Amino acid sequence: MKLISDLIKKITDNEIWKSVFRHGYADTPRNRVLQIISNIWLHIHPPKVRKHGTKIRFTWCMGGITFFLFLFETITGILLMFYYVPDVNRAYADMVDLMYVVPFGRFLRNSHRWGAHAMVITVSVHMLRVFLTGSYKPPRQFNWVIGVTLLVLTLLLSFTGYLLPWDQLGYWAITVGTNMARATPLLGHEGPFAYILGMRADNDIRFALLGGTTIGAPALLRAYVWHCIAIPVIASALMMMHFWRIRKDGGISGPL
Amino acid sequence: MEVSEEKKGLVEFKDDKVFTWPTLVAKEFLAAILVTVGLLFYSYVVDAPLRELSNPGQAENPAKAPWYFLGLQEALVYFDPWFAGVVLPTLIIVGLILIPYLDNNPKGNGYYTFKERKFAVTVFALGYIYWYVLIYIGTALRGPFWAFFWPWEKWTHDFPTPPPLHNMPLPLGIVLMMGFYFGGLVLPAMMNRDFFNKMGIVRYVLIMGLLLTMIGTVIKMVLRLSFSIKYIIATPWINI
Amino acid sequence: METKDKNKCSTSEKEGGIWFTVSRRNFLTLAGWAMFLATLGAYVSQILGYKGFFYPKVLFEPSPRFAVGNPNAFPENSVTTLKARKIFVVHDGNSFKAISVVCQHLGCAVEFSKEKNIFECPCHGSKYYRNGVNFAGPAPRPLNHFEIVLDDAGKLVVDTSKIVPLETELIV
Repeated sequence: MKLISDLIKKITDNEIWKSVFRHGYADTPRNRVLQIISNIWLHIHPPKVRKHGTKIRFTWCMGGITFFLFLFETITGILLMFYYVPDVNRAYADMVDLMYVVPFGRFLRNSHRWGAHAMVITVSVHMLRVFLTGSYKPPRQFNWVIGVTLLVLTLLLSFTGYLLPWDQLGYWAITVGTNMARATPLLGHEGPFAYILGMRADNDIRFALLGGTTIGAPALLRAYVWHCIAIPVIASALMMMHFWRIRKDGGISGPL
Repeated sequence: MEVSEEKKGLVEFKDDKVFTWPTLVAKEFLAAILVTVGLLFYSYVVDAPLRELSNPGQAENPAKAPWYFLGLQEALVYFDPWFAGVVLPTLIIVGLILIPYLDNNPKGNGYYTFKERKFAVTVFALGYIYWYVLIYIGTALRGPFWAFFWPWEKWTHDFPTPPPLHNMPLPLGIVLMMGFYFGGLVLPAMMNRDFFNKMGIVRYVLIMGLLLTMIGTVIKMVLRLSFSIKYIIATPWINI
Repeated sequence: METKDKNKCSTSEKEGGIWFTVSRRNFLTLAGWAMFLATLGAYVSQILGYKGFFYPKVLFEPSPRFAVGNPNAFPENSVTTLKARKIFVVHDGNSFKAISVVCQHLGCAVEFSKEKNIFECPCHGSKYYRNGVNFAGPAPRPLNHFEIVLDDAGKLVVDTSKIVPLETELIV
C-alpha cells in the first residue's frame, strides 16, 4: 500500500505532471469548481447547476446520451472508413469483408449500426422530454428550433448511412428516397407544377442529389460524402450552438 | 455532498445549486458507461442487418425501410409522393419548429405538468403516438406486396386482390375539403371564445391548420381503407 | 450642418423607424450587408443552385437502346422479366410489348404475379393489370411502355428513352 502511494506521489509530484494536470482530487469547493472550469471537455458545464437538473427523472439523460452516441458513431465510423470504399463494385464486398474477415470488423459495424438506431430513439425521446417539461418556452425558443434541425440531421445521417452497404435495403432506399425528391412540387420533374420551371429528369432536384438520372456510382459517392463529412460537420456546428445556448439561456430549464 | 443549505423557515430559497463536479459529471460518466456496455453487448449478440447485394431488377418483398422511416413509408401508401414524401414531412418539421412560437401559454416552463397545459400536451402526445402507430403498422402488419395482415395472420402471397380504387367526384371532394377546414377553424373558435382570444388569429389559424392536417391524414386513411377512395380531390394538376 | 442632420435623424426615427433614415452610416451599413449577401448568394447559387456544382455535365449511364433477343425466345402468352434491363417483355398471340419494371409511384421494381395476372409492387403495394394500367395502391399512372422494334437481324430492340402509348404493340 505504501509502495503504491509512494509511486503515485512520484508520478504526480513533478514538473511534467503538474504542467499537464493543474490540480488534484482534493475534495474542496475550490477544487470542484476547478475540475470543471480548468478542463476543456468539462467546461461545457457551468461549475454549479440547479439541483433538479441533475436528476435523471427530470432529464431522463436523453440529450447527454444522444451526444455520447454521436461521439461513439464518429469513432466507430472513422474506423469503418479504413476498410470501406464507396464504389458500387466494391462497397458490398467491403461490407462482407468487414463482417467476416476484418479483425473486430463485425463488432465495429454492428455497434455503429445499432448505435445509430439507438441515437434515433434517444433523440426522439429527448424531444418528448423537452416538450413535456415545456423547456422550449421563453427564453429557450430558438434552442428548440436548433434541436428540431438536429433531429432532422440525425434522420438524414441514418438515411445516408444505411444505403452505403449497397445492399438491397440501401439500393431501394435510395431509389424511393430520391424519387420522393422527384415529386417535389415545382422542383422535381414529376411534382405538381414542375412544367412551370421546365423540369426534366436531367435537370431537377433529384438529378442534383444523385449526380445522374439513374442510381449509380455518383449517387453512392455523394451519399458517402454527405454521411461521413458534410452532415457530421453541420451537425457538430449546430450541436455547439445547442449546448452553448443552454448555458446562455440560463442553464437547464426549471421552475421559474 | 450538498453544499447548499436547505434551512427551514427561509421564505425565499433561491440558490438550489449544487456543484457539477461530482454530482452531474458522475451521473453522465455512469450513463456513458452503461450505454457503451449495453450497446457493445447488443452488438456482440445481434448482427447488424446486411441484405443481399443490390439488384436493380428486383426489390425485396416486402421492401421495408428501417423502422424509423416506416411511418413515412406507410403514409406514402395513402398519398401521392409530392404530399406524403415532401409536403407532409416539411409540414411536420415546420410545425415542430413553430411550437415555441405558437404555444404562448406561460405556464409549465421547466417542469412536468399536464393540468396547466392540457391542449399542448394532448396534441403533441397524439402526434407522437400517431407517428409510432404508423411505424408499428409498417413494421409488423405489412406483408408481401405491402398487403395488410393482422398480427395473428400468417404472411402469404395469395391474399385477395384489393378492389380497384376510385376518386371522389371533384365537386364533392372540394366541398368536403373546404367544409373540413372551414368547420375545423370556425367551430372551435365559436364554441370556446376564450381559447381563440388567448391565441390571437394568426396563432390560432396556424395551430388549427396543422392540427386539422394531422387529423385529415387519418381521415384520408380511413376513407381509403373503408371506401377504396383514391383521391378526395383529383385534378389534372394536383391530387390529394 | 451636423446639428441639422442629427435633428433629421431623430425626427425621422420617431416617425417611421430606422429604414427610412438614410444617414451616411445607415447607407454604408446597408451597402456593406448588401455586398456581403450578394457575394455569398453568388457563391452559394453556383454551388447549390440550378446547373451548379451538383449538376454534372457528362454522365456515364447505360444505353437506353438495347437488343433483347429473337421473338421466338419468348414463349407465347407469357410475361418475361429482364431484370438487368428493368423491363417486362409481354408476348400475347403475335403481339409484343415492352413494359417498364419501374413502379410509377416511387420507382421500386414491380413483380408479375402469375396466378392473379397482375403486376404488384413490394414497396407500397401498387397494383397494375397485365396491360400496365394501375388499379389499386398509390400508383398515380400506368407503367411506362417502351418502344419495341424488330431490327434487320430479326432481333427485338427496346428503346427505353422512347415512351409509347399503352395501346402500342409490335406485331410479329
